[in-house]
Amino acid sequence: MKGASVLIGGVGGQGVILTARILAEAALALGLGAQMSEIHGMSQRYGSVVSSVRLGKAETPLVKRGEADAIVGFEPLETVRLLPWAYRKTVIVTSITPIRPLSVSLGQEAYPLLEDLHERLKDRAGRVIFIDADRIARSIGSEVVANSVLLGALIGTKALPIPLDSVRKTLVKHVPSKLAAPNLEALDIGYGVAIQDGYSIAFA
Amino acid sequence: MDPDHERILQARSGETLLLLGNEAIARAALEAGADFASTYPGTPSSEIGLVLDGVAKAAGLTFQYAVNEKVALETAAAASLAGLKALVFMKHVGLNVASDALMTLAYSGVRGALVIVTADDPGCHSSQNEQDNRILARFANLPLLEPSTPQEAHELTKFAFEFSGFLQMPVIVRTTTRVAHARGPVAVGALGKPRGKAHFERDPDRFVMLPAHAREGHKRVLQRLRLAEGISESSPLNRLVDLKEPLDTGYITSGVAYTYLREYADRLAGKVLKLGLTNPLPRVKLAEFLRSVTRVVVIEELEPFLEDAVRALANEYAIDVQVYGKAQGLFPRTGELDPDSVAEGLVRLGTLDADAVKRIRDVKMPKLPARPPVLCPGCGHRAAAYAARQATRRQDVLFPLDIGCYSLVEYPPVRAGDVLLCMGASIGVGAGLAAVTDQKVLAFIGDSTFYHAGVPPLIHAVHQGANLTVCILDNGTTAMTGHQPHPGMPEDGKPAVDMEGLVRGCGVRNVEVYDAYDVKGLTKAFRRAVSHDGVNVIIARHRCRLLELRDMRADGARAPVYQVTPEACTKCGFCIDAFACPALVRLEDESVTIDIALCNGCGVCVEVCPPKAIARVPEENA
Repeated sequence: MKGASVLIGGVGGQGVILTARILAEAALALGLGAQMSEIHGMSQRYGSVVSSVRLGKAETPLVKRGEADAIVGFEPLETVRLLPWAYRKTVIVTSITPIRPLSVSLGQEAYPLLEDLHERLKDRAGRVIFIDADRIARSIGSEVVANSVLLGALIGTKALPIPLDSVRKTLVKHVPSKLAAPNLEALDIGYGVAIQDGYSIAFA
Repeated sequence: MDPDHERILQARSGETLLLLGNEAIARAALEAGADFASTYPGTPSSEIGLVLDGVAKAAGLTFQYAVNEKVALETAAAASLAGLKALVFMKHVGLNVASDALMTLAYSGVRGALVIVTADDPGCHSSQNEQDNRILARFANLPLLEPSTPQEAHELTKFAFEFSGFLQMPVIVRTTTRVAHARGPVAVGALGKPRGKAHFERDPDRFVMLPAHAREGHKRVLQRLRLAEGISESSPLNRLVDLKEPLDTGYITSGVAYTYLREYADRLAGKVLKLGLTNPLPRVKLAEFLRSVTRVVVIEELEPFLEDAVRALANEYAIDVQVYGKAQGLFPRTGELDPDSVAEGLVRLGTLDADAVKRIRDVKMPKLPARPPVLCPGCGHRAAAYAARQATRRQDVLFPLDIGCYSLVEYPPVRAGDVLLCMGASIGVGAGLAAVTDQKVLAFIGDSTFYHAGVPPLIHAVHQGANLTVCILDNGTTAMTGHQPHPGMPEDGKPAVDMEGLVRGCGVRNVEVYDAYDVKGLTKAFRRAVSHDGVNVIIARHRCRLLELRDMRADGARAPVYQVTPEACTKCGFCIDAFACPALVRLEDESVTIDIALCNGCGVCVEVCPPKAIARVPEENA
């Protein structure tokens, strides 16, 4: 199998590392090689967090700039921050709900216009899926499952050689049992969003 | 037991797990049959302790969170002197704290085995510096192993126990963030059997470092190091890897840099000397390698540790070879390397085709607002630092800071930081500032840090009659590194060392304790303290909100909900401009609202808001 490189970015506390872990464990369970990198400690306190996952044969979990096959962003600004790793075939799945950095709350810096951020993503990548993951998560009744919506959408893009069922199986092992059902629901809906995205009625 | 820890303990020989480098080290220690392990938590080493603490009882291993790294090393050394196998691990700067013990322990050597893991942090992801501890290993004349991946972290740690046992000296395993916090497949071996208790056999000539014995000890460590050098020469940890023909370019590399070079292996010609045992270096093997090539490229993170040695060796043996690396600026001496920076260096030198970096160059990025870490919503540190700022805002007050989550109070808007150096330095620096200036000094230090390194400087400040206020931010845990216990907390039948008693015992007469959420009380206390002579200690105590919320959830309870009454909000913005809890959000019309998803329900903003526009939502409506 050809390898794949994935970057997952967000704000500390959003579950970036757990999501990357589920992806890597699912790949390993399928017999694909998998590695990932995490950053712990200070950055987990609401700072920018990024985790990289490489599937298939790779020497390091780090992704080279311009070589991410997929990028998942849990927050629009954090998605755009990962653009140096995108290229013309990159698939991007991003949440659309901004979380303002402190400098923005304090009025020292401005949060970029969402339209501009979206344009930048579309300019550079092969395919971009914008998902209101938070709203979908709320509709399921649990705000904490927004990352599963995004993970589902990533799997739905078929950019990675990992089927939905494998992720479902891995996910239930890594979330508290109480949250298994809403997480699976979120995963499925996200998957559906990606499958339908870009098609008017019929889809391939 | 945590399911991840259970998996690590239960895995059978031959099984492959997806492990963090740190988890791989913990498993390796269990396989080596380690009897004793100790640490003071610090990123990026902390997960070794989380695993070993979790499995200790089931594995028959004695695990202790020590009060600081020096004590951790001393207790682990004692275990090895008694004939047991011991592991001690810490972040890079932790080894500075332990270095007093380290330097002399090298002379006495060990029995059993003693493996010291230092987790370096190039790029300062979570540290106050990015020192390269390979130099400390050379300084102490101790063997040094550098794993490149989680799998190697496992193999080298296991080997380190054997190596230490054979040499009868401590062995250092040095990881970096991208090994410690990389997660990759690790094939595990069979678990070993700890012995448990031991009997200490006296040998004062070796273990009592009086000057006469120390002189012999210095000779002994050098003799042992020669044995280690022999092993370094023949060890497969220092191995040759051929790339494509022609083979006249050599690459010398160690640690994580090796994996970055391997990323381009199919596009590079030459051969690689991959070094896993880097002190003592295999001088003969290296010289042979240098003679077999016309140019050699040394790739390593941080200091030119290998590069300088290679250059010296080429010089010593008059080998005609060009040595490339940091000296020519091909690779940075600061920060982390990554595959891109390695490729850029090689392209500049001309050994790698420019195609390899083509994609790097065409990115135009807008200027994006940075997102540094901030204190969590509901954090007691924010409340206490805010109170200190408010209490002293018309005065010239200096704020020495210390190491922990609360380092973040230096960021706007609170900006309660003037000097931040190392563990415990807030009080030492504070005492110094009090001695040489007429400015008032208010030092912040966390509870775990206070026990770790705050007590001697507090004694000093009292004895010197410093006019100093110390605020101990007591959240009842070592929060930043993953909520490890410290001596101020009772756990598993271990008694707690009472903080107020300890502070009074240091000679402080004026000790006050407040709930960190009590902004009103703290503000008055800070105002009094800074105008009061002598050493004043104010303990701002509130359990880490993350732990409180975890317990609430376990009890089926919910944190209180607060909201802004829109009609009452005067749009003054004070709550954000002075307090800046992440849950407070400024709307377009300048009024403020509370983001329910972020709010942790501490209620401190009720007190902060000048027009009193924030109120708790009655439970039935929450």
